[in-house]
Amino acid sequence: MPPDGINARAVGRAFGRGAARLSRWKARRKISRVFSTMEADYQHLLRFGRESDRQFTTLAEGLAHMDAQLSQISGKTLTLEHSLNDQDEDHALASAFTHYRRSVDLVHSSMGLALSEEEQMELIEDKLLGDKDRFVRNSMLFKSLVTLIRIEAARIDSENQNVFAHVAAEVSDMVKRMSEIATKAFGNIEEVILEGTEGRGKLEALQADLTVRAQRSAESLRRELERIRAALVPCADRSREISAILSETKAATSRVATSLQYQDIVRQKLEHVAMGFRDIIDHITDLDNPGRLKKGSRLDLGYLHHAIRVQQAHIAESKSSIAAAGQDVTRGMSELLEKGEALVAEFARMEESADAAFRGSRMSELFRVETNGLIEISAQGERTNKRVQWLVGRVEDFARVFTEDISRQEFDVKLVALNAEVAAARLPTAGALSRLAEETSRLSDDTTRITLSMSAELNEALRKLQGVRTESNRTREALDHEKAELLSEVPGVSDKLARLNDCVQRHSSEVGRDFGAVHREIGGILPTFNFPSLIEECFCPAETLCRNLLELTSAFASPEDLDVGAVARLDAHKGRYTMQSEHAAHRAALDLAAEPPGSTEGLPPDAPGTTPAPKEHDDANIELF
Amino acid sequence: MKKPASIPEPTGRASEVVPSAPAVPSDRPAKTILVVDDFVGVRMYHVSLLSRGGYRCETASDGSEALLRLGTGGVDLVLLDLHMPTMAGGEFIRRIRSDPAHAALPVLVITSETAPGELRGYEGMDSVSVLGKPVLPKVLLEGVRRMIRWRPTRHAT
Repeated sequence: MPPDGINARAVGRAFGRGAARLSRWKARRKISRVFSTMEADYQHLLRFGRESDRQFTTLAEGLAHMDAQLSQISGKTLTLEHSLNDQDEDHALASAFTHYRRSVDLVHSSMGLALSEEEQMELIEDKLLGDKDRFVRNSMLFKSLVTLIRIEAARIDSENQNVFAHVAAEVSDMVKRMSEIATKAFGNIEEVILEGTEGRGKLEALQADLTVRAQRSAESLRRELERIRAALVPCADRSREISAILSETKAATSRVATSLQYQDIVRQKLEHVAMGFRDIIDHITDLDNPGRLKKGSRLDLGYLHHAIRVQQAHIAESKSSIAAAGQDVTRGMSELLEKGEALVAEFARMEESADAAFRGSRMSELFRVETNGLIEISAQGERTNKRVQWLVGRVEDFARVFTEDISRQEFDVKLVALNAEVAAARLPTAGALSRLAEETSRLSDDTTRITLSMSAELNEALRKLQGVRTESNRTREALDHEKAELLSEVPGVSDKLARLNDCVQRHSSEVGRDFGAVHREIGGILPTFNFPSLIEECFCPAETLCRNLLELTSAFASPEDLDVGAVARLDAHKGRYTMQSEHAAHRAALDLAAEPPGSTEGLPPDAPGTTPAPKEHDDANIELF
Repeated sequence: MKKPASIPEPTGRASEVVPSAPAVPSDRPAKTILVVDDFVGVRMYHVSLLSRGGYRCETASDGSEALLRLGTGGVDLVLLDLHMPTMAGGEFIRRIRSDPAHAALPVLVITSETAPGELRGYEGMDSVSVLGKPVLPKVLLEGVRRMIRWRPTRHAT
């Protein structure tokens, strides 16, 4: 029987409590022994945070710099692409083609106008020469008539001979005067025609030459423009390819940047895990120094076991996350490097194409020279136009004087015819003379008719030529305006072509050089990134510590050993994502363990930082977590 | 008054001096040519040349204006530039070829474009002929006469 009324059950309970205390004491002693490494272990975790922070910061800065550089390169590439596709604000090639076509149009219309005026002039000349022939024939008829009159007069008596001799003399005199007028007028006209013909001969040769020159000039200009346009196509293709790859690098950069964000989350987690360890170390250190701990505090090994499991889980999750992030970063950076290699090659090809397109090109100079040449050729048309107009003016003057002079002879012709008729009437027997008088009268009528007809036709021709001249002048005015515009535009278009040349050559080498620097930068960053070894070095000690602690506290892992409050806190730990909440829970538990019960009164039981008071251990006042 | 046989009738070549000597017999109505070019100097020159050649001319400064004019009818030939704003010559030809009313209308393209690639599409096209600028006036007039004489073989209207 047990002494002093102490029954066996009570002894048993006391023995059990003693055994449990002994077991906890032993576990705590063992835990105390691993404390020596725990400090270093959590420092490793913190070191990982710092080191990964440094590496990721370097990476992020490098990436940000690279991104900024790539954006600049992308902008330059886009500018270059616009230039290559003639979509920039200059539209150099389109302007040059338009200018070239307008220059050809100017030559075509200017020379065409001059040639067509020449043709008109030729028609007038033909007409004038035809009129001269008609007039000469008429004069010859008059001369024949004078001879006939004189022959007939010789047959009659001497008294009447004088009458016919007088008529013959009058006719002869009239013919002479008219011949003089005609000779003078047609002589002048022929002089002008001869001058025109000689000039036309030269002009035809010149215009044939100019046409060939214009066609050659236009062709060489067109060929050069076409050559540049064709040569820029591969450049534009490369540029498009570069833009596409640059877009892909953006995606790779974005993936790297996203992976980098994991580091910050993991670093925070690790900080909280480390702080959790720190709190445990502090508490156990305090237990070893009773003077620093409030009375009744003790270590809850069951809770410690489960809390360590939570820490272990977070460490494992962090390790996995950061390892995956590290792999993503490495993969992303490698991808960037790979794309960079492709870009370097593309930039080199584009630079080669640009160089090939413009190597030794005198496009701008050629454009200036050839378009000025075309405009100069068109000016030849203008000179022709002026020359024709001057000739027409002179012919007009001579023709006007001629018609005026001939008109003045009209009265004399009629008078001579009348005299002949009167003379013939005096000699009714002189049948031949009478017929001659009739013939004289008819010839005088013909002369009048021819003169009038010639004047009318000539005036009509000259009037039409005037019309042509007026029309030509209007066309010439339009052409002059166009020519002035084209001339004023030549330097501008020439400058645009020079800018295109400069832009393509300079930008294609500049973007290649800029990208080369960025590419080397990316290549330099990656080797400094040693995540796999850093992870192993920093996580392994903490993982070992967790395993050791779990092993030491495994005897207290039974859920029955946990009070309701500890279970609730553990559930909260598991449900939280970062270790901040866990740390707060740890801190609250530690504070609760250190404070007298009821100090959280007035706060709701589930308030953050509060922990419901354990129901089963109220009397023990040993709640730790 | 009766004309004596001994005195010949003065002859002249009055018809040749008329600057706008008609290219067609005077008893037939003049053919109408629609001159389409954005370059005003070229339009004026073509009109001047063709008018003197005896043709009636109308003008348009681009393809869309020319299409509007064609809608009113009476055009026998289009003298067409290729490079024009709003609607270029190529598009104009495609449009009229898809319209049965003008599918066989003769078109004489006169262009500063001599790149074979640009002109390849018009070669062998029915009722389309191409002349490169600069072209001599007589060559242009001959081209116009040839096209005016042209009669469609497949697109008879």
